[in-house]
Amino acid sequence: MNRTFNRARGPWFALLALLACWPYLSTAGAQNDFRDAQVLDHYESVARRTVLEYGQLPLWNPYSCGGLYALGSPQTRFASPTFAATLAFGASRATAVMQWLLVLLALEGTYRCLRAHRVRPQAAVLAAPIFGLSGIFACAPFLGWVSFCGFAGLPWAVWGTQQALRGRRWGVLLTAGTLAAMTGFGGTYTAPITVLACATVFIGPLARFRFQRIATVAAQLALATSGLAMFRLLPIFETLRQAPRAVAALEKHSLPELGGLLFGTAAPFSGPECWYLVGAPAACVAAFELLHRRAWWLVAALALGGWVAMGQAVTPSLFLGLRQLPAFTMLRSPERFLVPVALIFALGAGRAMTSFAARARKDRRFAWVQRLAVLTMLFNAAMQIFNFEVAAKARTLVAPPVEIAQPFHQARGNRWAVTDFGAMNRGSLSCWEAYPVPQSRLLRPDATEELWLEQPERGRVEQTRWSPNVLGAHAVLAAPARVVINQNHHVGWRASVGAVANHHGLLAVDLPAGAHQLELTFRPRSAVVGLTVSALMLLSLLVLTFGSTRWWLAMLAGPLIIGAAGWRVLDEPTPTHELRDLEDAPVIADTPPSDAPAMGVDFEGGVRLQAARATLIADNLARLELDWVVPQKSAKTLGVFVHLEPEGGKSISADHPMISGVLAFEDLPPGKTGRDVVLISVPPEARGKRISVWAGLWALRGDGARMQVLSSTSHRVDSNRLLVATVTPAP
Amino acid sequence: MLRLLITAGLLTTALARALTVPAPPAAKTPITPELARRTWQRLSQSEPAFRAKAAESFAADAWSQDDDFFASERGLAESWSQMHVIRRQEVFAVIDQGLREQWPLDSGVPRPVTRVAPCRPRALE
Repeated sequence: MNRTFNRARGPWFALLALLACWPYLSTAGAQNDFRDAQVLDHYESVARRTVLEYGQLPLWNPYSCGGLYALGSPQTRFASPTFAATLAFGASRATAVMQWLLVLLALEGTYRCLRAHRVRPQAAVLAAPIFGLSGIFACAPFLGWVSFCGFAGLPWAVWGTQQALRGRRWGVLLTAGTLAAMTGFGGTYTAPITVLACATVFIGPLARFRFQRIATVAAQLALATSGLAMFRLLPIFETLRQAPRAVAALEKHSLPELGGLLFGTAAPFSGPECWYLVGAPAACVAAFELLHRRAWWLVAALALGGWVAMGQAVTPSLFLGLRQLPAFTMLRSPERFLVPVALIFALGAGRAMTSFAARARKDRRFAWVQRLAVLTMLFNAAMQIFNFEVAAKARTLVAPPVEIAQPFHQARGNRWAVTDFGAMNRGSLSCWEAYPVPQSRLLRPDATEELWLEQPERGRVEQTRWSPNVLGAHAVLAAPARVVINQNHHVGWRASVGAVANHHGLLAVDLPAGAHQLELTFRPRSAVVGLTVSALMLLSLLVLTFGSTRWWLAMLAGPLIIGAAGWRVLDEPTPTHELRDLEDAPVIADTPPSDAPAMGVDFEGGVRLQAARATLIADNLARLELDWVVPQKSAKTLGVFVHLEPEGGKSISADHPMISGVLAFEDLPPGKTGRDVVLISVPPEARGKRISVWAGLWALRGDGARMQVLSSTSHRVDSNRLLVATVTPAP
Repeated sequence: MLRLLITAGLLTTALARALTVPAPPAAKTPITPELARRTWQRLSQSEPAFRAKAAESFAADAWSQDDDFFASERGLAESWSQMHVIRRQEVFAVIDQGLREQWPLDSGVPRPVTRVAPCRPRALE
């Protein structure tokens, strides 16, 4: 019986995946019009075009935000094996095919994971859909968040870790390969959360004091995974170091909310879509195991998952604790940690059904419990499949844009419909990303030429070649001059003649006098070194897995050492990191401007407001300037709240978590002035009224309390906010 | 053998479905020069009101103001394209062309803004 189930699982899983993904497969020809889907599908289409039309690796994306480092953008998903489907079928159709394949992979991976935990084949086949069809696979694609389907690798990575701990070297290759593929698939969430799930596999051997085995396998996995994923980790690290993502929202979920996310808030088959659906019927079956004393470790893992997912609703918050770790610093939405919880429920249900089967063999009367459990699991799978249908229907689908062949230009664009622009060979300066893209303020959406001379009187320049990664130009100059290109600067650009320069954020080349054939190539060091390390690591892992060498440490450390040496040898300027405010002035200064009214007010948390002023730069626009200083490195994560209160009118809020929108308080060098400049729109109803401008600090994380005003002799203080200025705009 | 055949059959079904399902029909009428001119006028006329609304919604956040404007612009482009049975993409193409070639505007209609605020995703959401 079990052998039959073992053999029949292939067609069964393929059928389940097909039924679940049918609504997505049946609309594969359409373009998802949700704003995030627009941006993320656009990335994929641009990568495809770069490969197929220009025969280049998709390293630079000139179509988004005025140009960004495609391999270093955390949300792009082309750096994974799934890109083959995009190349073959186009982004939209490939998305549906990928989803189906990833659901199939998730089902098979869960099965193998359960089998490794001594779950019988029949039980594993029935319990695998709890994870394989869970809500994340149903819902993520409807917003275009296809990269979340990379969670399909989670059970494979966990299974690989288990096998590695049992001394099988292919387990290391499997886990590292899976995590590297997830990283390449835009796995900013999937990979770190999967690493956590893999870490829990070490708990068992730890309890049995097998420290040497644990240390060996942990080192192998760490070296292999970091090396194999280096092609992506280095570019992302470089990007986020230059432009760190600010996450300051207070995120919390109560237990009932988490219950709704896992089991749905509506009756079965009525929707709405459920993001982390495990299914209440399956949870009931799992409960038979989870209530057993032997399942303490499963309950502990569930509790840990719940604790993280509650975010800041509990103190201490495990989510905030995790955010102290490097790969987790910029993560938000703690409920996403519920994904591994589905695997725990699958394990619980699988083990419960295994024990039902064992008891039924001893006592025939117990067979009905087993049958009931089977029916329950089938019903649960049907509910989960319905969740796919509900999520797929929630999309707005439109006809895909028409490809129009014409010379490339930057356009004002529109990120809400950005695929429309890519198809007509236009870049979109209207930009959305999850991190502050270094975007020049001088980018032009109306330029008739995409490059020009900064000093036009010194000669002429004309574009001779345009492609995403290589640009060509012919310049004839009577004197040295600067060629400016209508794209963002990046240190990875190399020029065949002259020197690459950063022209207020735009890419530029300083050329000597004379006639020049200029070629600009995008070849960043992080991509070259990262790809080399990954290739060498793959080779090492294949030799280790299928060869007989015992020198695992040398084999795994070797590529990383070669990478470190290559990093030093390859010359590349360090990215400039001067933070600038909205008016392009430096955010960090030695002192406030001499004409700024002094304040000298100390706040709790060791922050001082040195000076402040508010001015009207137009009838409808106020300019607020706050100068902050921290005597020592600030320990607390603080935000600035600003209230503009017109007399007898509605208060206007201008809260912001970073100084001038770019610098966190904890990154402000002690003793330096953080120049916080905010432009605030004044609504028509507030004009002609005296507006009081109040400012203060609050704790961004934790309880969100306001910082106390500690010393203020001459300024009005109310509820720990300080009156910094008053303005009266003309009526 | 049978299970392999069934699995292969299901794989083929999924692939065939994804690759053969037709795309939703797109408007086929090309935009006329006259409609392009009217489109340019209509969208340029709406821009100040969209930007004023955005400034009210996001008083102190330049990127969010821009982003809110672009959301409104997309909405108008969508409804305008439906009204005139043209592709939304053609509406955007008109804006692009109008900005680059500096198409004329009726008196009193301000020129569309050609600067875009750099991306600063909201940290408090």
